[in-house]
Amino acid sequence: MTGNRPRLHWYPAPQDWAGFGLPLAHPDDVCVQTDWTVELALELLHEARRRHHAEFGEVLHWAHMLKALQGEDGLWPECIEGKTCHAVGGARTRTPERLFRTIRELMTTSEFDTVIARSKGEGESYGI
Amino acid sequence: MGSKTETTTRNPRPLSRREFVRILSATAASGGMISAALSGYLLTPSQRAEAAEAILDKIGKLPKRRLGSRMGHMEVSRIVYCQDNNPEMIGPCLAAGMNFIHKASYWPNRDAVPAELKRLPRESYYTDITVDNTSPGHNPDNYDEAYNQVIEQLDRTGFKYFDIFRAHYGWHTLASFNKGKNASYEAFKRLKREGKVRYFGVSQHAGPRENYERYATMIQAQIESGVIDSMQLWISYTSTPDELEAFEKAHKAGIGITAMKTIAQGYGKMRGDAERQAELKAAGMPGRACIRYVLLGLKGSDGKPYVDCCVSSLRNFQQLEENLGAVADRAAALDGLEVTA
Repeated sequence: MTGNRPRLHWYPAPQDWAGFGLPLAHPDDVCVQTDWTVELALELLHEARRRHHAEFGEVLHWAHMLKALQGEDGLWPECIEGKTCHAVGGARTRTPERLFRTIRELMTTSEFDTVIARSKGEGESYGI
Repeated sequence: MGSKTETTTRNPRPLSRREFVRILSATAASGGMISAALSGYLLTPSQRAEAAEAILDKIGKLPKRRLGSRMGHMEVSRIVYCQDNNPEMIGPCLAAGMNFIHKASYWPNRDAVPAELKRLPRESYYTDITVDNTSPGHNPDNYDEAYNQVIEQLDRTGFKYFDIFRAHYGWHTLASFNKGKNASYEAFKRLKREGKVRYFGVSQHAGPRENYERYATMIQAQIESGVIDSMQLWISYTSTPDELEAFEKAHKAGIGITAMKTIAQGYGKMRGDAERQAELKAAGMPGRACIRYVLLGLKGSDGKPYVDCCVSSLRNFQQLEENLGAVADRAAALDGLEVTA
């Protein structure tokens, strides 16, 4: 999904999943795609600034959930099993850092400083 | 409209003074949402200030309620300001009666603390600091991190003290909480002796649930520990019966209860439930319905609400009007709702 402009539409992961509320591109998806989640979140933040209304609370929720999923290497799983929040495969991504930097700038908050410091990157995505 | 230019949210256009006044008057007369009528227009700063005044005049003031019974007579507005709200909202929120700032410690420096807040006597509002040694990626046993964060953020923000030391994200396991005998509580006790904080609280997150203790079990352990004065919890239209039972027990124990994730978690379900929206007198306003459900609808065995207040993310005037209108006195009275303490 990375590189495509995400539609401002998603299906929240069901209530009884560990990844409750995280966005799914399709209702029958079982995995949360981290890069797509970040792109969607950034698009929503962009819309929030431009149109003065957006599902902003959900973006903050995703940020809080992604904060909890940062690994000791400072990166995130590229694909997350929604039900368990376990990584699917070994691919890692640094993309969420972009989201945390954007939130920091937009909201003048230091809440995510340590997450950004731990990721130590420029926000690019790559496979391992 | 005086112009044939299409006005959409993607193509905002300015409003003349005459048009602006006409829209405000027409909306006031019809009882509609002021922010919705003005949405899509590019307002000047003075028009924005005037619109905010009109919204507040329409919805009224936020009622206050005692935050549990363990923190003296700390009376807080039933909707709480969050540090990462749109800074433009702080003035109207304070004017509406908000007196509790969540995550106040995260303003990165004194210049970033809103001038509207700095003008107020420190004793006239309450704050909490979310202490991050219990956050993901940190070590909950790190006493120094907890202590030093409070010292550093007090210095950075210029607040003289934080009312509530709130362990951010809370504990994942009963072992790390350790019946309250943990590094966070030890740091809190020292900071309290030094006059830098007053009460001990937690912002207990529920997930990712696979890696966390069952939510209701963790809350029960925190109640039994007897050390927690204030809990901020995921309380929404999607909360499960066992969770609701735990929230009520916490309130009965005198713990101040703040709801969080109320809209982020409850919005989707509420949006699809027109019947419940109507029951809460908030048809077509899922955000307002979510807050009413939590603050007015969740009642204990004594028939009284057990959620004291609710954090709300506010990005714009529409959210301000919709969300604050959930419990603000005039809006609630117009809908025939009684907002009691």
